Amino acid sequence: MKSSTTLFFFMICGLSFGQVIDQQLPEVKVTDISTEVIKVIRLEDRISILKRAAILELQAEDVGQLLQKMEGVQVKSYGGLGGMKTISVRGIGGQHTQLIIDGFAVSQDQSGQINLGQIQTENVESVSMLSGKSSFYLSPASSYAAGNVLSISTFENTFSNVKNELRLTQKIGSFGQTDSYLGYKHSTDKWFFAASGKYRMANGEYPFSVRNGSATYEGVRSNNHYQDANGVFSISRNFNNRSKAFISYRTWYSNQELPGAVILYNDHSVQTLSQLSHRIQSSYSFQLKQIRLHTFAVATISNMEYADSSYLNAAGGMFSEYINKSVNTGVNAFYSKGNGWQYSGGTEQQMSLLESTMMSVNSPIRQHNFSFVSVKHLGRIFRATAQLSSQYVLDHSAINKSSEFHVNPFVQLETKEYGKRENLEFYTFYRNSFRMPSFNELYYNNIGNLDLLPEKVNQFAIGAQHKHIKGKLNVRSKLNLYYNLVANKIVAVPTKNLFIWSMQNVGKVQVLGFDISTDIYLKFSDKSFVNSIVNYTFQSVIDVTDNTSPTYRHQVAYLPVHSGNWDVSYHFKRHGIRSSIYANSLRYSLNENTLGNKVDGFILADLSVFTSFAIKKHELRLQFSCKNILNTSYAYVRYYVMPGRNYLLSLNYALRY
Amino acid sequence: MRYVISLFLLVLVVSCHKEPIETVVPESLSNGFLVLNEGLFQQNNSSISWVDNQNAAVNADFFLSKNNRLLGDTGNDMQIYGGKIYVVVNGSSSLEVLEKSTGKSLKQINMFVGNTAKSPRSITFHGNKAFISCYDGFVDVLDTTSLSIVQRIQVASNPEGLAVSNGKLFVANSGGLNFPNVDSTLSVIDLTTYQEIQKITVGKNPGSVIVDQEGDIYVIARGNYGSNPSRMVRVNAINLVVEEQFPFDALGFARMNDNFLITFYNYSTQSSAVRLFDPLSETLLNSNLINTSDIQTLYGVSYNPHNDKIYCLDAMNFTNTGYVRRYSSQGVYETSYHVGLNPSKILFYE
Repeated sequence: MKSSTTLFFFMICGLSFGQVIDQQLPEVKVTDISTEVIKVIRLEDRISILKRAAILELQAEDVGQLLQKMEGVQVKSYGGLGGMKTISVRGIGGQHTQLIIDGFAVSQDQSGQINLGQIQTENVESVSMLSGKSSFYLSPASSYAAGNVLSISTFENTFSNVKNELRLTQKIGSFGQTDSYLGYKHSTDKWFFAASGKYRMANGEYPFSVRNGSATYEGVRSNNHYQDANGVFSISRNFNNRSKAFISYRTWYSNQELPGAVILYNDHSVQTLSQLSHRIQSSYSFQLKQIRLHTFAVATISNMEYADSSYLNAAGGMFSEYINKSVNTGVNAFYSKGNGWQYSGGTEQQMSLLESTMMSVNSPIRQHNFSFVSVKHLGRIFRATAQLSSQYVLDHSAINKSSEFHVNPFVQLETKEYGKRENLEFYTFYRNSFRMPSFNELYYNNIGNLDLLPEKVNQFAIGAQHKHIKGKLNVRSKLNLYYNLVANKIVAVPTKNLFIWSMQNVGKVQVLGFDISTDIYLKFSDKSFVNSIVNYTFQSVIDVTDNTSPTYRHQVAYLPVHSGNWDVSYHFKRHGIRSSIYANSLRYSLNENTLGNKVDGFILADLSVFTSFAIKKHELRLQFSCKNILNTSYAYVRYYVMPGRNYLLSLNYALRY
Repeated sequence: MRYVISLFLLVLVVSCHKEPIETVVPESLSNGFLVLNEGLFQQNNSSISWVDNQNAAVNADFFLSKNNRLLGDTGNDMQIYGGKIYVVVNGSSSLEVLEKSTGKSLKQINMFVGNTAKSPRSITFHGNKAFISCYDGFVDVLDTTSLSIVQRIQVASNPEGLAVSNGKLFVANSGGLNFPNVDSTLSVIDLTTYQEIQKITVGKNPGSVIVDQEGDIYVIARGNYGSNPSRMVRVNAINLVVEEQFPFDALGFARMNDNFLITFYNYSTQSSAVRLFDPLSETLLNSNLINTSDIQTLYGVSYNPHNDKIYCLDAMNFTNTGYVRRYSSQGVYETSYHVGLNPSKILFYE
């Protein structure tokens, strides 16, 4: 019953998680072990997904921290609350990952990728990473064209089966951190409305140590204050279960100091960055005979101001402002007669404009059209998907006009449950995709290059997943093997001297990787269970640009060959304990794999205890975490030091009636 | 499951690589040369390499092995004066003073005004003083005996190269951080009063400065990296007038006995040239002294009078470790030494 209700909501909502449900259906017959299993991290049909219970248990500050728990994903963090966090998925840069929040694509034309350190988790219901899948049901066409898809679903933008829900979160952590979140949602069969607000701050003054020859430099991170605030208001109307309208407004503000790399003998920094954005998004879904249609429109304006008063120019500092305006509109259609054939298609038009004195041109504009058609056949033995996506991009400014048109294929073949107990599945896929150079890469003063070509990616993968369910034991394992090729890789290279860099299409990168993950769920009694999730990722990501280069076949900068996670949690009644370990092997700060460029691997361990109480309609959850319990001194990016052992206490209150 | 865990642990063990053994550095330096590698900014990986002429062995971390600490971020200049080596470290905003014979640190001078880095760039000497151009628009005067900064002389924005001639200090004001509105002047400082007495307009974005036997001052005005080319100009030592702008491309120079070696690297064609110039007759003796086909990015040149060889510094693609390439004084390629990231300065030992 629960599954069908959820399915109902997803179908009606037309939001991003339809396909998850669609593929969960065959599992219903075997997933009667417990509903708790769904609450923790699990392997769901090759989608790496983290749901609210796991997100709470991990006490992650942001989506960047959550993604590190997923196999195949490498996170690069510059440290501190709100600090820059970017990802690479299966050895491919984060610019190839389309971010979708509540079913709406987030435009990333300005910088090419989103700072995942600024997407918070308080209101996140689930985070899913899709590598080598078509995309989510009725998602924007841009996600069908992207190399990978990261989808986030939030509390404010989803229907709920609770009429009134109030959520309050208060966190207190080391280094002056406080977070407050208040959210309310009223939901009925016909409509919901939700409103929330969030504020967080930290002084970020954490102690660190870096090795300097035989000595150790001990310091305290300075110029690392951070604060942000956001507000969301959304409303949705469900008409006769056949059509649905949704509109939401979101505003977001941040003000942060940028500590930069720790420079030996000169550890002072005064840079600051502040950002303000407004976003309105709306959608309307309806049924036209057997066709499900979904239309949407999004408008965003964001303003970013950067200041460096230590810059030694005549103006007495570097002060720059960037205003990015974008509009997305689109329509999707889904048709299925229930005879095993599913057809979908869609188009999305994005327009983006950037205004800044830091650009070599005034107000460059990009018009980007994404379209796709996809056919899926659910056969007796195989499930096959074939998809074509097209992109037409028109970039123009006062001094240039260029256009790109590409059609990219995606094909996938999956077996249905195989074997005596129907517990084994195989898949293979091929995807060809590309990403456009960002505005910064094209136009940034002195660095940008108008002649840049799109960066192209070919992805091939095969994999399998296995389920073992016996009595109180539920074990799910999956294996992915992939071979990816990146051509025309866009990289910043110094051209005139050390200080004058420029963007160039210079790289060819070959990725050979595999990851294995196992999720074990062992139920002792109705009151207690243990869950253990292990994953290991191997990624050989090598530079194959030029066989005469000193970096030929060297591992690409900042990507570890080995990385992995091991999370174990024990739940007893409403109490629990969770240990979370992440480890990665050495990386290099530049593409040349020399001793001088070595950045040490590290192991991070977090431990948390949690408990909750429920009195009538009130629920109170309390969690205490010790993060980096081993007090490891580490960095993702050379000299961007990360905090040592630190603590976080959080209190979640929910009222449901 | 057991398999997964053991693999995970195995991986962690395997990842602990062994470090290669460093070559031994001699206690006292002779018959070899030191190379300053700039490194890349924000990476604290500037270094000094020691190359032994006898066995061609390279110690890539000479400064570290002598002083048990790192040089810091972006070393920009390295010169010998008296019995000392002075290393100007721009990103770390420090001046390292080392003992010439051993390379051991005598003093590290942190160059700040309050918390603001002075960002030192280049150094030159006169009498018992060293003059250090600082990107914050000043030249710092260092007493070479007490090793303390005794004065700051204000010039213009982002000074780079400097040289002394006829009791005057000439400082190139690049204004590089105001690009494209760069500076184009040379400040003249009286070395008795330590006051700027004049500014000479020499051309856009002046960088390196050198003085010939007659005291004439040569400056490279680097232009705008585009339509305005990088050219060498000559300032008359007596009347301080720009007398000549030479019609060939130039980016840097070094003395070779009484002549100059002039380097040029063309960013768009990625080709390098080393020219031989006679400053007395003011004529170009050879516009391509060296066959530079072995050089990817010419980043500097030096002449070693002890063995009559020319050393070219090859920065490769700036992000890969560089090479010092040795040529005969006639420009014939002899050998290469693999050094650190972005080699830019070289000091020879007999």
